[in-house]
Amino acid sequence: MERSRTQGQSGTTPAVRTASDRPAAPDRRIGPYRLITRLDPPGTAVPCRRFVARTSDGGRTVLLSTPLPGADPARFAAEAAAARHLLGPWIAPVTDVAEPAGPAGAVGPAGALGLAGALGPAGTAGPAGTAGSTGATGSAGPTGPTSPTSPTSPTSPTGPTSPTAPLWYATPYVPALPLPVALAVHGGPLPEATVRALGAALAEALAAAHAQGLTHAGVSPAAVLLTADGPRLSCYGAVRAAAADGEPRTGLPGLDPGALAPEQASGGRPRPPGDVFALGAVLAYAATGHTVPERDELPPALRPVVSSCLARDPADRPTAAALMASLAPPSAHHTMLSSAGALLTPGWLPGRVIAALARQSAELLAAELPELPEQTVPAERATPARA
Amino acid sequence: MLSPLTHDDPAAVATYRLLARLGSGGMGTVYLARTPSGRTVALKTVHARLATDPAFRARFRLETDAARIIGARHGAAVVDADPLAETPWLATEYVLGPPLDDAVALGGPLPEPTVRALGAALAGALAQLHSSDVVHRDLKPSNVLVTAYGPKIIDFGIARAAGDDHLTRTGAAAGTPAFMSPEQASGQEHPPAGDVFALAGVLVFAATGHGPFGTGSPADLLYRVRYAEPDLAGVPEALLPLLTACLAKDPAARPTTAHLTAHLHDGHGEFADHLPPLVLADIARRATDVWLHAPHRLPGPAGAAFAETAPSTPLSRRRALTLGSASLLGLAGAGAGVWAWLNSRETDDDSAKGGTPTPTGPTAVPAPTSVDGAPAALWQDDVLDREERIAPLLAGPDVVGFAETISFRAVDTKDGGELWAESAVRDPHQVTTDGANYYLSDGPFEGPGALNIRTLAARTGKEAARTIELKGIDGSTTELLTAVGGILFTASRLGKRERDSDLDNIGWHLLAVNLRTGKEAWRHPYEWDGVRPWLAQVVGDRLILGKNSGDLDSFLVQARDVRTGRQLWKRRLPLEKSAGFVPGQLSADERHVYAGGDRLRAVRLTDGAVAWEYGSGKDPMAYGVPALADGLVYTSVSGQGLVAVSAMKGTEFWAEKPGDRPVTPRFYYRPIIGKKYAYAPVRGGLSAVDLSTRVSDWVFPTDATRYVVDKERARIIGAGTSTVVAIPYA
Repeated sequence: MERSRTQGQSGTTPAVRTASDRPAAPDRRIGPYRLITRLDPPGTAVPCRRFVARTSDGGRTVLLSTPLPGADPARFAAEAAAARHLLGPWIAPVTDVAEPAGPAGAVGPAGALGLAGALGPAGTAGPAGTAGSTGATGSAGPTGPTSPTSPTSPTSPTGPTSPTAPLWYATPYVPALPLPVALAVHGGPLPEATVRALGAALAEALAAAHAQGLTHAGVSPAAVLLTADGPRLSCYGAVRAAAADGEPRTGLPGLDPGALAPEQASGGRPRPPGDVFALGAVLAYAATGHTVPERDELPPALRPVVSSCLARDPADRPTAAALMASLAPPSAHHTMLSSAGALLTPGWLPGRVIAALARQSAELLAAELPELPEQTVPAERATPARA
Repeated sequence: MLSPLTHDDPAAVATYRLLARLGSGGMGTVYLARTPSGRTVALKTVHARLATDPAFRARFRLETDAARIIGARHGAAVVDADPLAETPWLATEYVLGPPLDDAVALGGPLPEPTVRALGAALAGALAQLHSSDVVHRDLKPSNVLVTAYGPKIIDFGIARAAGDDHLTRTGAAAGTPAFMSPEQASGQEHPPAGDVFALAGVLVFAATGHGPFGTGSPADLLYRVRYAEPDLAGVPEALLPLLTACLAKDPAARPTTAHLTAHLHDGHGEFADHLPPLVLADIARRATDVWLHAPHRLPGPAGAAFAETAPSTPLSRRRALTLGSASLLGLAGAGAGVWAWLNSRETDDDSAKGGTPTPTGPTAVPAPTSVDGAPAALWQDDVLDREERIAPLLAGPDVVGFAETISFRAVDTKDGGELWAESAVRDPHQVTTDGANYYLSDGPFEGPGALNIRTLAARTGKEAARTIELKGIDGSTTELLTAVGGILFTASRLGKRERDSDLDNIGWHLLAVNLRTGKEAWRHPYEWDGVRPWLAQVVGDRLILGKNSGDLDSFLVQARDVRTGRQLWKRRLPLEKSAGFVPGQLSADERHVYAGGDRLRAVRLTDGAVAWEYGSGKDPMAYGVPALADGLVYTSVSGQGLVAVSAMKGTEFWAEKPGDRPVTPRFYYRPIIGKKYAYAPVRGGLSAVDLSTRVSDWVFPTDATRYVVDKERARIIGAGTSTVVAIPYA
């Protein structure tokens, strides 16, 4: 019979199961969004809290990131603001950021985008701006660059932040599985072709960021989201947000120790070679199930590449661009911007991972926001940091 | 799949906000829609003319009940329904998976493990239905949606009966002839065992790409279903006994659904484990695209109020920026439905006044740098939305036109600047050219059929001749084939529009229209099996037609007399070794028609005999769409690159030498042959093979796949899913 193909079996997707099993509390809100479900299963080392959320009018669904309890809020806000300007492939585009609460005019032009998460100094602002929030996406697909024309606040993102203001940033939702969830639904390490494609795309994303003078400083298995057409890097700056430079970063919540380069663990300022180390750990994880693989556990073809990334001395690691070239050898018709895409052909994701993506999509298509009794609930309640 | 709303679609049905069109058929229209709380559904509505019929309303209600009975696991979950509303509607889950016929068209016949898993799950679904005393009566590939977790059965044969007058005409009950049971075909009751018969037909289709009783007119099919032995060629051997038993003419001799479930599959693994990569990729795409869809609405005829139909989200980055400040409404050119905001000059002026930056503007930006030895693009522009069959149509020097997703645009080959756009035309098959004018067809979506042919001057887009109207022909599905010497050739269905119904397949004719007199020159019946496009070329006094067969296992070529339409010969060229190969263009010279596939073949124009073949046909090599130049036939060969073969004899003249940068040829697209280079579409771009060294010098990176040459301006114009680009031609 078909007992093993029942829906119960397929519910091995923890991230997805939450959508139906554990609906968000009736009035969980962050900024202009109402939460539908968590993206990550409980108990995983995630650098930030991630939710799938929706505008109150039901029109727009986003992936919402908020800081972990204890993280430096100013640092998180700064990373979120910077992420808006990050250009490149395979990077989840940040389209919407909580405004730091500051002087009265701080909402500025961003008010048009419905950034109601900015509480006024008195802490009274509700989600009144949501009506204007449709249309904030549209021009930027998930692969699209962050639009340089998006209105941004002229205020410094590191400006004074009200202790009660929920901090968050949003990217347009597309079905996505955190890498650890993908391994769980697949039932073990991913096939070599998947790892290779994943590695090439992530290396490409990092190469683009490094070329812009940016260090991601948050690459880890959980920061990598798998979508139908390629991976997406999220959780910018988790390392920087976890602790200031100069302080040891070992054992901090949200940081995957295996993906933390030694020089960063000891408090060094995150630099591109640290991203490469973390990417090596991500690939090791994808191919074996853990970031610090046993000897000979890696597929032979990937062993030299991954090992070189994991070199203790940053100077011994390849650059992201070189890494991309070795994972997706360039040929005549490959350019800097297309080489990873060439590996992301049908079949790059295993069937069960696609099935889990389809299930997540179907569940979120079917998800409804609970009816709102009144729209006057204080927004502080939604602040995850205080939960 | 997700098409924009049209100007006369309502904004909402009940409390559902409409987002996009999913399809429309004889019964009504299906929309993607959203509840106020953000749930996204497929919303099926019924045509007003059917809703006035109480009997039809009753059937619609039965259909709704049946959909509830089959449930969310084996069918589309019913969210809500109102069979009593003025416009009756049914809201169901939006199912993320292709219909089985699309899945087979996409990746070819399914492998045996897939067929088995599919069959076991479908048998389980039928068992559940039958235990509730419901019989489906219309099981067929298009009613089976393949999701990652198993098939879902939709569209019961209940409500169909009313809208489907051809079935009443042929005296049969509801159902589709090709997958009907013999008892149904003879007008008797269709018992549960009838569904088993239909299921076997569906599985034969899944395994081979054709139904067990082939294709043809309904009368032929009904006869074959009742009396002929099923054609099981190509069915995996291990499945033959079971499927043969299911296809027994005697219902009592067929196995039960429980027997089928047990014998088709042992239940190991998950359903997704058994799906081929292309089907999985299609599922993943559907699961993602629904979130990326920005709702928008097509403009109505000029003069209609625009306020309610303004797009809520931008159509594309480029146009979005001009849309905000441009005057939204106005007439440009002569045809109805030409919109000022699509007219580059006007919007550009307006946006300049408004101070809005226009990053690419009406004239496409020159691409600044060269890549990897390739020359820089002369100009490049993005294309609105994705359109798989976007194909450049060159009209004389200077002008090239593209059928985009929401309009046909003509641009200057010099700089890519838009000359004019026409929003009534959205599909490549609605437009053709003779080099001087563009011919555009359309027809009403409702009422008696009519084919309207407009003649627009290539350069200006102005009406160059009076609109030709031919009554009694469905203009909305008509395919314009080619126009030569004042004659336009079309493939047209007689009668009124009956989209997505079984009538789709009948009444097709080839038509020749005299463009000067506006009269039909001749018409001949033509068997249509649902596969587009038809390719046409006139050589001397012969009209050469080519298309893939409905089962995709052959390429059909025929020649007709241009003056009378009389068929001179036809030839079926096998494609089975290169399943799914779809030649996108026809290649013919004064001697032969050339076609790729498992071999490269030349078919004699005089009598249709195969003059020569190139390639053994044994190895898995596939030969791409050929190009002709200077007595040579050029084609891309899998794993080898370009080869040049003598057009006269088929002997190899030269083959591309492997360079240090391997390229993967794309077979569906025709190479372009220049004096210095042969340009071959390859994965990731256009490869320039030096004709003297026979090595690829460079690959121009682009997603363009279809190319034409403007020799006077020495440039190749290419179009792809998101780009239009001009590259130097040498």
